[in-house]
Amino acid sequence: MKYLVMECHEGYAVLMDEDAVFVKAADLHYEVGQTVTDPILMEENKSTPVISRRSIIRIATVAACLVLVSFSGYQFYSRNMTDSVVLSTSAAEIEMHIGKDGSVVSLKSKSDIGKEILKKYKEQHKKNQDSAGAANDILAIQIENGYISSGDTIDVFIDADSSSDYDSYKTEIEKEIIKLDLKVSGSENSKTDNETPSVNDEIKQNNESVSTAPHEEPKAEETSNTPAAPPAVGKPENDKKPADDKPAPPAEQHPEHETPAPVDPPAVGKPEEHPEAGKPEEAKKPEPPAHPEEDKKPEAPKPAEPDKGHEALKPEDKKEEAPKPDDSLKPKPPEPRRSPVISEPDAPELPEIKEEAPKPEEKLPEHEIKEEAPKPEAPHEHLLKEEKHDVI
Amino acid sequence: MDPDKHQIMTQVYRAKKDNAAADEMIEAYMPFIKAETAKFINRSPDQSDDELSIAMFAFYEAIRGYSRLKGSFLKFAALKIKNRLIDFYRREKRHRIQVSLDEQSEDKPDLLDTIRDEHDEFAESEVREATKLEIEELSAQMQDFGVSMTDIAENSPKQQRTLEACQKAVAYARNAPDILDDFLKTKRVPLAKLAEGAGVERKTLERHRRYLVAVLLICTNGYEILRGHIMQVLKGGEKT
Repeated sequence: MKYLVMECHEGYAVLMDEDAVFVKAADLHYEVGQTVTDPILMEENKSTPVISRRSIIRIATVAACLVLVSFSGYQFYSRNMTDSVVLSTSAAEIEMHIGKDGSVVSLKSKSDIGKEILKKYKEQHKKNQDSAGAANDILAIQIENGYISSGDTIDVFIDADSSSDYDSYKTEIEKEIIKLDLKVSGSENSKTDNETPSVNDEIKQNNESVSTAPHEEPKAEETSNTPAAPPAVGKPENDKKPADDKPAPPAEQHPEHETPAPVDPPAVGKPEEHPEAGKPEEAKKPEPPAHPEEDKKPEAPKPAEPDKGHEALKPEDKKEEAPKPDDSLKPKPPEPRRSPVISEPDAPELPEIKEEAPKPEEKLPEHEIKEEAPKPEAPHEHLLKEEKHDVI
Repeated sequence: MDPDKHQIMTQVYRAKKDNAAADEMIEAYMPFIKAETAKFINRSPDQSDDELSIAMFAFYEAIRGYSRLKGSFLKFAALKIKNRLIDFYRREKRHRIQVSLDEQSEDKPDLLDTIRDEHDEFAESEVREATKLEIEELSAQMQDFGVSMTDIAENSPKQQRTLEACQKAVAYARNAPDILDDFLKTKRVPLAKLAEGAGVERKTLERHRRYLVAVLLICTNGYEILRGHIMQVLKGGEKT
């Protein structure tokens, strides 16, 4: 390619090639009008995408902000993530969701009483309390409002991933609640999923099956105003199945202690059938929502009525036998009121009862039967004998 | 900032826009350019040395390509000079095997004397003189249009497609004397007519208006030698 020198400057020369393109080149002692073949052409300024310091600083700043935001977001999320659940079952069932750091993440309750208590708690107390402090405050509110009283027993279900968490929560709650003179019966739910709803269901199931006794006990104590037995807090060493451990002691106590006291008449004739008869009294108590099974129990008195008819004939004898179970668990006041009320209307219906009467009569002592049996049996026997004669 | 550095920066940024200022700056920093050249060739450069010319050209490139982000201007210029001289030496290596016609030795006669000279020096000098006159006339005429040779060099098309578009427009104007007459009278490039006649994007021609001024002037009467130089382009309009 031939270049024609068009102009010469101090540091360069302007050349024109055969394609009529003007270029700058090194002036190697050229003269205007000279034709050159191999010039040193000027390099075009390559617009390389140079990253300036400002852009680097901006990018670094944005990246740092993103890292900061994501880290803080992760921290916030992890703090608010439920790690353990503590459920206290008193009049108000309150779930306390606890984070990894032991602070209370959220408080929930499905019962109306619990919601009221939580409202009051939120008005009075600050957020981010620790589990023990929150439990203490909630119980204090319950005491103030009369839902529980000093000396009552409360079931506390702790659902934690690790046994260490369970132990720590348990000890903390026990210590705090002891200050309020309450007695805690704790249980652990081995946590399989982190989902709270499933945990609640498990807890409720356990609660229904197991914790009925502790609920009833405080009421008995309230009425009697006597301190209950030493706190049944803590779980046995082998408890991985709370339903087997905690429920066992109270569930077994029910038939032994409570049945004889409430059901005075059956204690005489059929002691085995009467454990159910004691439950209708429980149904009258103001805590039905916690134990759906109790709602079904009110049906028990109906079958018991016929028995009471027979027993009503001998109230004095039954009262003498009842005191034995009452020594272990003190009798509840409403129970004796029922028996006389029921016995009065049942008394006139003697003819119907007489057909079933023979069974209790066999078990009753002979001297008791001899005194009262002749009066009702006489008309029947006469009627039966007359009928037999007619047939013959 | 150091006042000296501030002064250099001002000079550099002025020289980037003004060619005369660039020449002044090169002249002012000639000692620096010579010093950098001397470092490379290990001797004081002579005015006739190609290395010095290359160094001056590198200094000019440094002015054109400098920005504040690249640090000190003099360091940047020194680096440019050094790199250019290295490239020049690499390039000259290809010619080391060749023997210069001007090489003289005591034993042998000059090569230039032994080879028959086919060039007519007188004719060549006449043609060069005539060419120089044409170029001077062209430069003078271009000034009327407000355009210099350096501007045209900076405004020349770089891409082949753009170059072909401009050449089509020039070829169309060459075959349409009315357009060239209007161009000389009005001293404005008839971009609309050229774009319409040559079937080229007007925007493309607008971007290279100054280049078109120079080539259209060459196409007018009075520049026989220059037209002969670019005859290939004027014939077809497309590169063969």
